[in-house]
Parts: sequence; structure tokens; C-alpha cells
Amino acid sequence: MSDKNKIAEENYKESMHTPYALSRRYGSLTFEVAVQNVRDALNQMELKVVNHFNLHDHIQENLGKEINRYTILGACNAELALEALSTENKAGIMLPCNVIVQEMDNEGIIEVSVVDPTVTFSLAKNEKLTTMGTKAKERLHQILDHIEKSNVKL
Amino acid sequence: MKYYHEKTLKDASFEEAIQKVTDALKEEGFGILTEIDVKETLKKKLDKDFRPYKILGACNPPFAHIALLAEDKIGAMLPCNVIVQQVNNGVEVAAVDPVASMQAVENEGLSEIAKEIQARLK
Repeated sequence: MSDKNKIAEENYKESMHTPYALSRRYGSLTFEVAVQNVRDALNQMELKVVNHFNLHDHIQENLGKEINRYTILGACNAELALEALSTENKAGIMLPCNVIVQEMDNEGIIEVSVVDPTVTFSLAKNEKLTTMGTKAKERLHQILDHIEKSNVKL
Repeated sequence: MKYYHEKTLKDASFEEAIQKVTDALKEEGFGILTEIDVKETLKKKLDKDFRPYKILGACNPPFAHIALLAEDKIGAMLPCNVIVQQVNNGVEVAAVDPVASMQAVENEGLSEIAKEIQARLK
């Protein structure tokens, strides 16, 4: 097994938790395919991509600095968003929910991180909103299982 | 801790408020990277009528770069949102308090940056 596959496999089994996001690494995907597969997986979960932002381009254009490719996708489900906004009129501050795709320094390893909406939604200290964050989390975090599968070519 | 700073513009139309916010952010070195028209999206997706409401995603490239070096998954919390919505007595503008939102990250290196950004977004 190549080092690349080994790293990816180890990471695939153990998702990495940070206090605000869940991440997983993949060794079988190119950056472009990973971004597309994240979009497809979000779509399957009825989460629409409302923002697509390439942070690496922004840093390059404004600061002339090179960083690894890094894309931020903002995802939203219209029904959940309406429910959140009806509960708390400033809930837009926590929307959309972000998924980031970044190239790691190990060649060929792509990391996908999904924000934990229970953390962002709990900012408002509104119990109803925190419950909605849990609902959103269930949907969002499932995409990590589908990113690689949707690339399987039989 | 309150997670936003707000101000109501009493004599501005919704469009004027958006322009004012854009100009004010620019003056502080923030570009608007993303814009979501909530009213339009809810109409299109759910056929619901909603008040004028926009979510603007603001980013200051040098700060974003420093934040990223301190915490490589920080993109999950970017950009900083500013919301503009029509309310009864004018147009309300609310900006996220990055000190509150970055607290969740539990990274001390970030809290200094967050404080700087907080001062600028105010």
C-alpha cells in the first residue's frame, strides 16, 4: 500500500474532531473531484450550496501569497433556514453552514471539514435554535460518508 | 455574551443601507465575498414572502491569512457575517462578534485576531 493510501485509510477510519468541526481525509480524490463530490453529497441531503469561495485565490490576489487550495462552500436548506430565522431574527449571522475542502501538505491528501452547527447555533443561547443545530448537524455530517462513494467507478 | 453588534438606520432605504455597509466594511479593509438574498431564496425555494434580508460575508485578507496559519480549519467559521434586514422602524444592520464566534475554536492565537476584527466590525 502506498503511503498516500495508508494515510488516507487511517484518516478515513478516524474522523478528526475539533471543537467546532468534523474532518476526514481522503487519498483517492483530486481536489476538483472532492469539491464536486461534496457539492453532490450536499445536494443529496437537500442542502443547497449558496456560497462557493476559493480562499486560496483571495489570498493570492490580495496578498500575493501562495497557499494550498482551499475552498469554502456554504450550504443551506431553505426550510431549516426559515425555521431558524422565524425563531431568531438574527440567525442569518450563523448561516449558511460551511464545508471546507483543503489540500494537505502530504501530496494527494484532501481534507474535508464540516462545521458543527450545534456549536455555531448555540451562540444565540436559544434552546429552539440549538435543537435545530442538532438537526442540521445530522444531515451535514453524513456527507463525509458519501464523498468517496460518489466517485466509485465500476 | 452577545454574539453580534447591531445598529438600526432609521432614514435609509434597504438598498442605501446595503451600500453604507459595503462602504464601511471597505474602509476597514473588508471585502464582501458572499451575498445571500434570503428574501429571494425563500421565495424561489418555498414560495414564502419574507422581509428584505441579506447576509453579507465579509473578509479581511491579511486577517484571514493569519487566522488560517493559526488554525487550518478556520474556514469553517469564515467569512464574518453582517446581516441587513428591514424592520419596522428602519433597516437593522447586525455584525457577528468574532470574539464570540471564535471562542468555540478554543485557540488562543486566534483570540487576539478576533479582538482586532471585532474593533473594526463595530
